[in-house]
Amino acid sequence: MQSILRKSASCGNLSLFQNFRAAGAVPRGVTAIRFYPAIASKSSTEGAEPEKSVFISQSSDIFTNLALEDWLYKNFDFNKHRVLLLWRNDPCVVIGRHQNPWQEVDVGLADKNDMKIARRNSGGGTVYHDRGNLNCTFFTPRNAYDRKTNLDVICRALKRQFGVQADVTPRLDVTLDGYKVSGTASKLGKNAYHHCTVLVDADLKKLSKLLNPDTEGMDSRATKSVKAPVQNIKNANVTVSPEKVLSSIGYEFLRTTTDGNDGGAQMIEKQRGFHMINPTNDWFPGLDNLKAEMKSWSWNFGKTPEFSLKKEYLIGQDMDTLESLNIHFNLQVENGFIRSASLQSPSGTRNFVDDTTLSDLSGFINALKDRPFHPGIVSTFEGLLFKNSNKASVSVHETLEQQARNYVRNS
Amino acid sequence: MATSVLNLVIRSAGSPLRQTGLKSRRAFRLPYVRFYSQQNALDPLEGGTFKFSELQVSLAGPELLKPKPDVSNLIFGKCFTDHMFEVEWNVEGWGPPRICPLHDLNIHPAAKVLHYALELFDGMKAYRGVDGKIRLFRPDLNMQRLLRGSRRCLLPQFDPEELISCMKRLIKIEEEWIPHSETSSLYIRPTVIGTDPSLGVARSMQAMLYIILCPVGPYFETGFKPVNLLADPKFVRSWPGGSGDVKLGSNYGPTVFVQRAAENSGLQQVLWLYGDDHQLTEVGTMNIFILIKNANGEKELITPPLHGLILPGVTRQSILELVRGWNEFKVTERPVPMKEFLQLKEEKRLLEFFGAGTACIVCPISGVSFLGVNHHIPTMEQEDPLYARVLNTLSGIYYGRISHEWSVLVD
Repeated sequence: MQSILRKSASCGNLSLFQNFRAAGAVPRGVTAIRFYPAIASKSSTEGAEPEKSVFISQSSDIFTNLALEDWLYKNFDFNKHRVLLLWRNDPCVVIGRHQNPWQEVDVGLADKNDMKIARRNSGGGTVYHDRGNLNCTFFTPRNAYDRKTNLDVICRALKRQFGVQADVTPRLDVTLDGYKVSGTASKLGKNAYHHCTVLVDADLKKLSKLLNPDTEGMDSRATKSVKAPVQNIKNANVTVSPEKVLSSIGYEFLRTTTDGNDGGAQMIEKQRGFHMINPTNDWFPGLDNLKAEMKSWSWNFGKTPEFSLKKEYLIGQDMDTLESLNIHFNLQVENGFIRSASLQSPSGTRNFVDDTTLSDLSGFINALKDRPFHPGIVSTFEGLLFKNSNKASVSVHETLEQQARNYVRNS
Repeated sequence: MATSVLNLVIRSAGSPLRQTGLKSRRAFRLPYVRFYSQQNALDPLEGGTFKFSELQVSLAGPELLKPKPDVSNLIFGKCFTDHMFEVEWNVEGWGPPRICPLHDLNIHPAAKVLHYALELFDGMKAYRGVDGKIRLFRPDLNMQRLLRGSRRCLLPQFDPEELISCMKRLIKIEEEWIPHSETSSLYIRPTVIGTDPSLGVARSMQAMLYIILCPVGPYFETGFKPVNLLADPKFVRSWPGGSGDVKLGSNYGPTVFVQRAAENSGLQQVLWLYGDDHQLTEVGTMNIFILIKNANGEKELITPPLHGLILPGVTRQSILELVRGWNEFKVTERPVPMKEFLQLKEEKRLLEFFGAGTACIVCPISGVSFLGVNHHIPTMEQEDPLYARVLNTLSGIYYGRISHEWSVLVD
C-alpha cells in the first residue's frame, strides 16, 4: 500500500485510483474508489464546530444498508463533518459479529418466512428489524467516539417531541418504564461508528418467535445475546411513528453540539441538514463489492465461531440393568462447515434399532463431512432414526414417550 | 480612429489581444463600442451588495426531500437538488440573501422578465475531486460574466465574492447530490430576472437573483460521439451591436426553432454563421476551435475573437491559456469565413473541429452541412488529437488530479 502511494506521487497525471488499479490493488468491477486523506488526530473541539448532516437511506434491504454503513465508515472524513445515518429495513434478523446464528435465531423459521439473516460488523447481540424499527448510526472520528452522548440525543428527542421519558442504562440500553427500546453496538478503527436500534412500532411477537431457537446440546463460545424484555415506544405514546421519530432524532442531532449540549433551534440552520441517500454502486463506487460480502453465506454463516452439537436420543432400555439406552449424535462445526460428525450407539442398540436404519444412519453421518451446517440436518437424522417402517423401534419409541410423559406428569 | 476604437473594443472583450492580424480588422468595418465594461475593473456597485454574513438558511425537513434517482437517470437539467439560493433587489437595495428549500417562484403576470426577457443566467460546475473534496472551476470568471450581463440588462450589481461565498454554502449543503464516482458534477445555474410588475419596455426596478443546482451524471459514457452540424446562413444568432457576448436568455430562446430545423435534417447541432462571408461563430451553445495546418505547414489553433458576436466562454478562455502555455504551436483568435474553412478542408489542412463548453468540455465535430452539401471533417481521424489532450488536462484540473490555481476548493 505504501509503495503504491509513493509510486502514485510521482505519476501526477494518473489518478490515485488508476495507480491502485495498475498495481492490481483494485478488484474487478470497481470503477472508482474515493480515497480520502489520512484522518487527522487533532481533537474535535479544536477549531470550528464540525457541520452535521443527517443521511436517510432510501433502501430497505439489510445487506445494502450494512454495506452503505461500511462504505461511509471506510471512505468518509468525519473530522469536519459529523453524520447520523438513519435507516429502516424490511423484516430481518441481524446478529453480532461474533455470534452463532443457529444459537440466536430459529433459522428454519426464518427461511420459511423468507426472512434474511445478516451478520453485522459490530459486536453485541441479536436484534430483529422491521419497518417499525429505526436504526441510527452515529459516525465520528475515532477520538470523538461517545455513545452516551448519542443516546442522550435520542432521549432528548423523544422527550421534546413526544413527551416520552426514556433513560440510558449503564449497559447503554435505552429503556422506557424498565423495558428496553434500544440496543447499542459499535465499531472503532480510524473512524468510529456507534449504531443502535429504536423500537418504535415493531412486530414484537415475531421478534420473540424468531429469537428463541432450540439450542439444546449446542456448545458454543460465540457471543450470546443478553435477553431483555422489550417494548415499542408506541406503548408510551400512540402518536409516534417511525417517520416522526426519524425526524425528531434528526433535528435533535442537528441542534446538539459536539460536547453533547443542546445548541438551540438556531443551531439547526448552521448545519447541512437532511439528505436522502441512494445506496447504489453509481453513487458510491465499491458499494456492490461490500454488499456482495454482506450477502455471502461465508460471511453470515461461515464466520460463526467453532461450536459443537451433541444430541442424545433415547432408543430403549437395557433389559438387565434397566438403564436407558441412548444414541449420541455429535457434530463439530467450524466456519459453518461440519468438520466432523459421529454416531455413538451403546451395546444393545441392535435390540431396538434394525440394521437398515443403522446403516442408513452411518451413511448419513459419513456424507455430512465438510457440508455446510443447517438445522435441517438434525431433523433429517431424527427422521431416519425414528422412521415409521421400523415397527419395532416405533413401538419402543411410543412406549418410551408415554413413560416420559407420565414421568413428567407425576414429578 | 476607427482602428483605435476597435482596439479598445477588442481589448476589453475579455482576453488578451494576440495575433489578431490586419485581416481580421478588415472584416469589421463597422466600428462599435461597448459602453458597459472593461473586464478586469470591478465597476462601482450600484445599489450596494448583499452580504454572505447576513445569509439566512432554512433547511428542508425530511418530508421535503426528493429521493435521489439512479445516476443513469440523471438527465441534464431535469433533476434538481433540494435547496436553492435567492436574494431580491429593489430601488432600496438588496434584501437578505436566503438559502431555502427549492420552490416555485411567485411572479406578477406583468413582470418584465415575462414580457421583455429581462433575464440573464450563467452556467458552471462543482466537481467532486479524487480526494473527495468539492472544487469550483474559475468561479471568478462566471461572476464577472454575470455582472456584465446584469449591467447590459440594467439589472443590479453585487459583490461577486459575496455571491461565491453564498454559493459555496449552498454547495456544501447539497454536497450529497454529487455522486462519489470520478465522473460526476453538480451543474450550477445562477439566474437574474427582472420582476418589476409593470408593463413598458424600461428598466426593471425590481429583480431577483437565484441559484439552482442540477446533479449531472457522466457526460461521455461510451467514449466520444462526434456531432454533425447544420450551417445555414439565413439563421443569425448574434450581430454587431447586439448582445451576443453576454449570456442573456433572450439570445437562446429563438435558437430552439433553428435547433429543430437541424434535427429534422438528421443533424445534431447548429453551426452559427454571420455576415456575407459566413464567418463561423459558435456551435449550438458552445464556442468553436479549429486546428489546421497553416500556409507555413505548421499546426495552428484558431478560434473566433471576442468582438461582440461571441460568448466569452470560460472553457474557451481556459483552452486558449492552456494551449498557449504548452507553447507547441500558434494559437490565433481571428474570424474564419466559411470559404476559408472549406478550402482548408479540401486541401486536407483542416485537422480538427470541436466545440467547447461547460456541459461537455469538448465536443468533436465530424460533419458540416452547408447549403445542401455535407462536408466530412476528419476530427476523429487524428492521432493524439488536441481535443482529447485538452479534455484530459481540463478534467484533470476539475477533479483535482492536477493541482491548479484555477480550481477553487469549496470549504
